[in-house]
Amino acid sequence: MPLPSIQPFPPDCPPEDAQPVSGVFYRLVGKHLGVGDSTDESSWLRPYQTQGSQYYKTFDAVGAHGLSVFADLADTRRARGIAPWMAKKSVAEVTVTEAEGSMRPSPTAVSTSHHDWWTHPVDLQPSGIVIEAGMES
Amino acid sequence: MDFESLPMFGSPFEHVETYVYYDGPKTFAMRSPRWDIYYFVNAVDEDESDHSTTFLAVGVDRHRFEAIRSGLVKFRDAYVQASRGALYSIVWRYDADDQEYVDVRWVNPSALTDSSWLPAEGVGLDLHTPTAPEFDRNEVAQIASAQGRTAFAVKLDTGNARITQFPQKQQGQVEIAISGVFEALVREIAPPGASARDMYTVSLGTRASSFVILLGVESPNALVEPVEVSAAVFEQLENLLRLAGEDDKSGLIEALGEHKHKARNRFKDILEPLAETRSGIALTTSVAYSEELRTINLAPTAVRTTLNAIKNVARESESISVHRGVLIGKNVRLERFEIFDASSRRSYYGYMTDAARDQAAEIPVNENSLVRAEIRREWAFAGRDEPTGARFTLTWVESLGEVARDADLPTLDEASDIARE
Repeated sequence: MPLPSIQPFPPDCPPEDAQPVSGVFYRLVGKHLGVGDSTDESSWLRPYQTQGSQYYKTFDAVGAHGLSVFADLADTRRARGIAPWMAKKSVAEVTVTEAEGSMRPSPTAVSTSHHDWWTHPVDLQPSGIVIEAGMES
Repeated sequence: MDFESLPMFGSPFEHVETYVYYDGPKTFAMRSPRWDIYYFVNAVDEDESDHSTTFLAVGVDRHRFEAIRSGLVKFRDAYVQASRGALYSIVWRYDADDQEYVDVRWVNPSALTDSSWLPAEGVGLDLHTPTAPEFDRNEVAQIASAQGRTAFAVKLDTGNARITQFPQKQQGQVEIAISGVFEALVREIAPPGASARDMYTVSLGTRASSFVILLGVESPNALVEPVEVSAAVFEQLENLLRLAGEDDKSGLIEALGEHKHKARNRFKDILEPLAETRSGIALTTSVAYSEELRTINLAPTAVRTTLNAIKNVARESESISVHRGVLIGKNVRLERFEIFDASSRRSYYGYMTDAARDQAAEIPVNENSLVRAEIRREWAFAGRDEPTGARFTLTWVESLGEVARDADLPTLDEASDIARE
């Protein structure tokens, strides 16, 4: 069964408080990618395309279109220490420009640097490099 | 993925909070609205071959939830130490037709040891988790108004602890010191014999967070609290804390110098346990019948610099002339002396100067042998109360010769007993 294809943003997406941002961010990617590898298509599946996400096939939710990224590597590592699912993922570094969409800080109780990223264009496949390998199961 | 209606004990659940979010909640808590059950749910694995994602959920009661949330219990231990029947694996799977299935099973916690399903060693959620009612400063004014007594709250910093707690030893020391400074100031302000001199402080409760001790004033021998005294006590205490917050401590030292030793010593006693625990202090006060609420803060760094400033004040000293005393003890080798002053009926003991040692060496320890002496009394600007806080040094001693012992002079044994009282 093929995964859902890229969908257009629903109304009011990106949200008003999302802003163009530039800088270095960190994205978790499949553990089949090793240190030095470039990110691939699977690295940028939106939450509505991801079967392990509560947003799977939920096309009308703003959060379902936002990619999770961390602004701080230490924060990324802390989250990986808490959730083994994340520890098994590799970590890719991606440099974001303001032209590539909008971000909104969305910190959680223990991940203060978490951001949601609504890319521009909507089907953007950013270019990232893996800097840390995922833990073996 | 609908976690809230999963077939686990206590279902259905309501979401409490998300700890880790990544394209959706990955680590979160949910609770049963009917039972005292919380679940920590954590994404632990996925299998791309069968499109499954595995979560672990551990059920705990509220106290355990607070301990885990605060980091008192490490997140890994939440799963390893799960109670029997309280640990579940939840596997979400999609079949070839993209149909969702969920499989919920009990897991034996002992089977998890060294498993890749566990959080990293030593990692805690480390979130501030108040386990006492939240402190509302208006409560101080409400107590003062409702109970017709001065109420005050002392807020301390819990340092690294994220649950409502404070080291018991230092908490006790702070409470005793606050009680002491209150009573010392009352005795400075209230005239002798006034019922206000019997006022003392009482503990009313504990609040979060960080850590708040709620206190009140008790006036056992007055129909109504003598607020002219209690208001002045708190004005002076607040003034000391305000001056302690200034970079230049000379104003504080001057103000402390206007108080008697007991008030100074107890003020220093408040600061010492705070410095040990790297805590600051905030005093919120509402004097009885005033309808006013005031707060004074002293930051942890100001606590430490104030304590150092007090310790660095030069020791004070005075010379005591003993005109009619009895040398009731001496140790020339160790240069120690003990003299009973027949006039004041108190005794002094301590070290001797070299000159006084040579003089004392010629004087017998004899209850019929009277002496005159000069004794230097030294004491810290703020430290311990007498007699332990003062240091006595014999600087000069002269025998008055063998005389008939007056009836009011005690024997050596009696003098020693008086000295020990």
